[in-house]
Amino acid sequence: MQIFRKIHGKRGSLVIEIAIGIIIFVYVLAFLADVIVIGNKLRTISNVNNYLARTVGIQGGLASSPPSGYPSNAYVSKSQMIDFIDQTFNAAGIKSNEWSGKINGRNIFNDNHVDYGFPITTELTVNYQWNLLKHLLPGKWDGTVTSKRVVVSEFKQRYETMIGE
Amino acid sequence: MGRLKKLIREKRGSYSLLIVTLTFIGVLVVTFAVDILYKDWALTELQGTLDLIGLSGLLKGVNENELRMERLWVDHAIARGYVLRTSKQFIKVGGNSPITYFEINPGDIEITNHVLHTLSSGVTIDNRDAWGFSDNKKRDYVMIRIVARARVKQSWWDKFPGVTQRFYDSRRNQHLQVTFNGVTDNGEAEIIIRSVSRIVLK
Repeated sequence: MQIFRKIHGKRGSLVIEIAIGIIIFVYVLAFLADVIVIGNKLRTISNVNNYLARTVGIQGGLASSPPSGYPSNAYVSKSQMIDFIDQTFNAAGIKSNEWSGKINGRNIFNDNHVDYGFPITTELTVNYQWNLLKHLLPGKWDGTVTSKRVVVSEFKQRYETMIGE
Repeated sequence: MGRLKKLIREKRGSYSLLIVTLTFIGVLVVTFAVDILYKDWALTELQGTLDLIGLSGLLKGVNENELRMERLWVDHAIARGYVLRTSKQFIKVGGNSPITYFEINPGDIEITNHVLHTLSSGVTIDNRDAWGFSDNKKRDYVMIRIVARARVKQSWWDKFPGVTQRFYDSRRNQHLQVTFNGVTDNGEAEIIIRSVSRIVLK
């Protein structure tokens, strides 16, 4: 009987309702914060892929050393490019083990050479998390996003040594 | 009258009403944020992709015989064809992509030559200028301007029947208005992307 009186009693209901309101408010705030962070990450991925694709297009690929005939001081090497991507992503909150890249389907860590006029596709894949919401709500709060670009190689690769007369 | 006054002053259930209102506002804010995220991502990706496809189209259209003689000439049909074909093949529509529709009309691809060119009659036309070059020297260049229309998945915030956007063309110092008509509440928002690229003979 006392239990029924407690359940139907209205005293203390205001506190419960305010608590529920605060919880809802915190969830919405956490969601908005996560959206802003993820939005920034997506924009960074897109901009970095623009730079990767344009550079790879100009120099006809990405390798440890410039191809024969390419001015070495103007060549962005594979390690320089990977360092650049890593630093830019770290600044946007994407860790080194959360991203991967491909050029023409091959891992960005491999040397890639593409001849003049042939297409080059660049892909950057990033794993992200809803960092605040995953602590507040149960479930899977991971996601993966891939940015793709296609360009044409602008550098004529040299395959033979030309012996003059 | 007395009963009406009593009803207005009644406080029972007023806080439950507040919670329901807060929950409703919370859902609206969440769906709004997700829709903005989808739209922003689609716009950024499409802009970057189109800029590079436009540039690649111009490169594909370069006449190599003319280039060997240090003259820049781009075949407009090849460039336009490349842009239309590659954008259709490469830009993912449907499935997991937030983009549900994408189109470029052939008439929305404008290619202009700003080159020194000698016609077969022997007449020389000089359309070169120094626009965008920091040293103010005239150079041969070819520009491509593309206007594309796309639709992006939305949840609840599809309340506008299409979009009209005003772009500024800094080369011509004039404004350009583009409209893309759509319907409200079909779960798709319309966006317009304008891309401008050029290749320069150095």
